[in-house]
Amino acid sequence: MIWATGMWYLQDLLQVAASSGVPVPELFFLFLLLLSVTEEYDLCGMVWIAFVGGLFWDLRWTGLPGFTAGLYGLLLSLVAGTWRLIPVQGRTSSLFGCCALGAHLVIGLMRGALLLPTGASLWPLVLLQQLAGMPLILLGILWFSRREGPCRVP
Amino acid sequence: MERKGVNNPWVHGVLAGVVGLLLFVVSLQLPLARNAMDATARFLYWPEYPASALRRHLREMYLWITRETERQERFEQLEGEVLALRTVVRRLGVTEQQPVRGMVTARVTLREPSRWWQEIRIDRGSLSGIRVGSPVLQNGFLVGRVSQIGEGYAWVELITSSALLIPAVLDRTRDLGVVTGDDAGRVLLLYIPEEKNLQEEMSVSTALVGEFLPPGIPIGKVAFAQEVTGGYRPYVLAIGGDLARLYTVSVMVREGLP
Repeated sequence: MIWATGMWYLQDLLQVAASSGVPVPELFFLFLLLLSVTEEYDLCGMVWIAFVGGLFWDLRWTGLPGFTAGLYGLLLSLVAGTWRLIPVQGRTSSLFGCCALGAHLVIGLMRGALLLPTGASLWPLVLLQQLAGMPLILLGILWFSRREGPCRVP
Repeated sequence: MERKGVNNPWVHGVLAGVVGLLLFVVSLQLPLARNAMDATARFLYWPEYPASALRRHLREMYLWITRETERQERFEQLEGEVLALRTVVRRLGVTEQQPVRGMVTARVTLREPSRWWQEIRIDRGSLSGIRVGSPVLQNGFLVGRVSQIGEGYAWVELITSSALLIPAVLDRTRDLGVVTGDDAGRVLLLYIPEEKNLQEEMSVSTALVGEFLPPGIPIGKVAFAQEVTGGYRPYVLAIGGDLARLYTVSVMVREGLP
């Protein structure tokens, strides 16, 4: 919980430091996803932590309370839930990378789609966010692969 | 079965999505959402301060670098132009004019809008030889007189100020009068008898009777006459100095004075 709060704060600081309108990588969500796939934490609790974090993000940045909250909660349960259905032997670091990349892309696209009616050219910003998220995902993959083999099953 | 449903992450995920959607819809209707956003921003003000300060400093640094680069480019361009002009001047055989002895050039550093036609402050003072009463000129025409003095600055009472009374003479007729301002940008020549019919374009300069000002400093020309009051006809002068573009002035210092 403390680590999740720290990650949210770090993402918030990045958003403050970045130019207005430039979306920063979804550090908080990726961190929760990483924790969720390790199966050391209760996934249901993680979903609600993601929801609360997303809600605060909405209140601080998007101005649309519930949007990021619902998106984070739904996406985390979907990705981590699907992950747990995969046999242990198949849970590789590359698959984790694909899942993280896909989830990150979905969040970016949803943010872009939501702001589409404003007429602003947001797609380059979404692309920038995805590119900025790459190193984080690579770090996640690295961390994942350094664990002892595939994830343990409780 | 019930426990399995409670612990099912899919159920929690869908529930989070539905709650999020409801919140999203409800927040569009309620002003409470705005209050919550304001409260969040207020709550995060200090925790976010390091990032906002960093951003501000980076932005300021970027602007400073941009400005300095532009200034440097402009400076180099102007330097090139000056060199080219010097070459042209040398080729034309024009000799450089040396500063007039007894004159101190000063920049206008302050001109308060509320006292626009009364006074200015210049960046030279007693250290440059300026004294109270020293005449102040622009393009060779009198525009004022030093009224207050500091070491590195001086205040100048402008010719358009009603507080300044300058004995003046008409160069052609040698009629004496007093030049003063109306605090609104006009300069008047007073105490000229009604029967003296002054012509336009007659030049006016300082008179010998002055206590501080040396005689013969050009002031301007007669522009037009006004209504007679008390047997005297005031004349409006077109002064030689351009008070609308008063950026630098020349102050007559002691050795230049008689």
